[in-house]
Amino acid sequence: MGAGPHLDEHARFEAFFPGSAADFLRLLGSWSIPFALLDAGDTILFWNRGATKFYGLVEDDVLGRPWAEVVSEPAFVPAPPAPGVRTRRYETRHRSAAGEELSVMVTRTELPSGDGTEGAFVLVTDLAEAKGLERKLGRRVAQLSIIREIGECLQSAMGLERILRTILVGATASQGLRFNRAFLLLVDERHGMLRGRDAIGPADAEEARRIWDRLAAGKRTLRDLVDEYEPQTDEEPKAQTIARQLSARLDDDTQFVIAALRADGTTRVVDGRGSGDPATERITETLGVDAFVAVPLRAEGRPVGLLLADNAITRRAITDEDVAILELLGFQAAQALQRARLTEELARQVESLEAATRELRRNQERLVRSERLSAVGEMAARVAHEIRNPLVAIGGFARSLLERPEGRDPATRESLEIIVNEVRRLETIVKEVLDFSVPAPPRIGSVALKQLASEALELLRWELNEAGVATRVEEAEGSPPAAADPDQLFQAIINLLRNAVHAMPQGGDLVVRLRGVPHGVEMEVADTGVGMPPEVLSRAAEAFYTTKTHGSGLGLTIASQIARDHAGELRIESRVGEGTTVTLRLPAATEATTDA
Amino acid sequence: MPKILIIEDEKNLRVLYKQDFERDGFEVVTAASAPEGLELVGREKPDLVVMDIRLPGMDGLEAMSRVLDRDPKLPVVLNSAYSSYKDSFMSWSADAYVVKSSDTGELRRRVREVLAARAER
Repeated sequence: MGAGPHLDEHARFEAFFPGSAADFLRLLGSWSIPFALLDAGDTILFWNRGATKFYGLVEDDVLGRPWAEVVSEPAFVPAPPAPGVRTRRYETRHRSAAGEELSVMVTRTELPSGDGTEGAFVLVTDLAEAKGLERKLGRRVAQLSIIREIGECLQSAMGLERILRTILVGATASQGLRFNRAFLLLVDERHGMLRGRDAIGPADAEEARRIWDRLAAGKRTLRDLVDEYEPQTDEEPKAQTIARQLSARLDDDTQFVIAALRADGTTRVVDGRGSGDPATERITETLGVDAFVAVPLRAEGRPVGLLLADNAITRRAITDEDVAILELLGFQAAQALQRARLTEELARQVESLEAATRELRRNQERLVRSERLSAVGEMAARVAHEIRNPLVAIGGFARSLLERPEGRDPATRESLEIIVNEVRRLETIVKEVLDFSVPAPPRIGSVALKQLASEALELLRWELNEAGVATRVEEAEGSPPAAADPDQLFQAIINLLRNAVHAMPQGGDLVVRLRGVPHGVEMEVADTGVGMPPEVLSRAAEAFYTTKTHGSGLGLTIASQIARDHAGELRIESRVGEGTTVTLRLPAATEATTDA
Repeated sequence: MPKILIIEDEKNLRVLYKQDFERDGFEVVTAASAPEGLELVGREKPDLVVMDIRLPGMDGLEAMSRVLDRDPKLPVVLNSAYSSYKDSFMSWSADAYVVKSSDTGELRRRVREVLAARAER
């Protein structure tokens, strides 16, 4: 405290308020909220800093003057306070020293008359400022609750389309951010594009009024709006046309949307036409509005899209608050989009996993079937072989007897003929088995050998890995597809590959080569295995001939039979210690060959 | 009287072929294995050999090539349970290829044909 008026002031306090009350009042003296202390005749006794600032009048100007005159308060009509109530509050208008009209709330408290002195304590609240603050606060709260509601909608939104719709409805609805129009562009990395995906906004003021009237009619929640929002089907809304026009290549920095996408924060344009920047002027032309705002959407540091909004219809200025709230929406939108992208990615991976499982199961069934077929075939062939010679002997002697004098007796002759006929029947069956005559004729179609070979290798992957065999498929340029029954051919290839693997117990290289030959195609299966001496080679394709301790000895026999059934052939070349090469020649598929 | 050598490991079939060819008026010698057959080729000087492709001790086709090594002009008729050998290039050097059957009529006819063809040359 200094000297001079302050001392007087102190003395006044002491006179008016005993003890600590004076200290309290001094504290209030430094407040920014205007207040004054009046005596019983409403003369100003005290005038604080806040009042000085608010009315533009210093203490010296006002002390000792009537309150109503100083603040230009209209005739004060005090409502009679209820007994025991000393405080009244009323709204009124004051005037500052500069003549400015002030809308205020006066809080007037009659002070107790302990020593007989009466007076009043008057607190003034600037209503203009308070109302503004309150409005602001209310709006902020409303906006935050909108953001929360949009956030909840986004959280529960399944699928990209629903998320896009929620973002756009949120940005434009009266229950939302109240922009007139919103455009959403998404990054399409596969095609190197920033694509205008969707937009919401009326084409003109009339449509805007229609929509807003309808929306205002019911108290709908944002979720209801998202549910009800139906994109027009007959004609593309203008906003969506604009959205598509906004699309740009990601590497095209001359585009406003790309610059905005890569910008650190929000890009605001206030005077697009007069900006002097060609890119900004171009997009201003496209949007047809001078002021707009572009919020980049980022997820995990990567740009995923751009949210553009404007007030094309009402031309309402875009405020800092509008931008701040749009940024909040943009943040949530980016999260939701990222989530949708990951979900989609996950779905794709699940799908490919399922496809792989299906393929695996199919291969498994194929393998089991081919194993079983070859086991059954082996058994049948062995049995047939064993009964063949006895049948020849039985039937042969029966015929022999018919030619001898003993066979001339009619009863004997009949018996012998029965034997002959029954043996002939059995021989036919045995012959079919031994010839490996395929019951059904081959279903010839066009077969891509490379794919079939790859599938067969895949099927034997475990065996190949176990044996340490490296494989590769080499296809000469212009190798035609084969005209073949894919199932039978698959069996033949499996047999050849198996032989090759078995020839390389210590590992080695297995190469499948494909090449076109005149009117045909050849598949060569070459191994770097033990090879075969000539005497083994000459019998290699013989049924049941095998040098292995396992296997049926039918592999090559079946393969060569299949080759013959296809009007092809099987050639074997081998050198001991160097390896074996089996060449399967098949007719090439022609245009007449249907796809297998 | 032409002499036929039959190389066949099945005893009963040897008996059957022997009876049938003898009834047709041939002289018949039989062998149960390839080595035995080769020995008889040298000793008996047959006019024709009927042999199975699968024989104990030696592959029938290999046995045939050894027969032909000794006497390239000796006719050979292959008698096999497997029609699939018909296309084997080794079989091409045989004069005839007959699929084994209880009906020996085909075998006997081919033997007569081959001998007749040889006689003409």
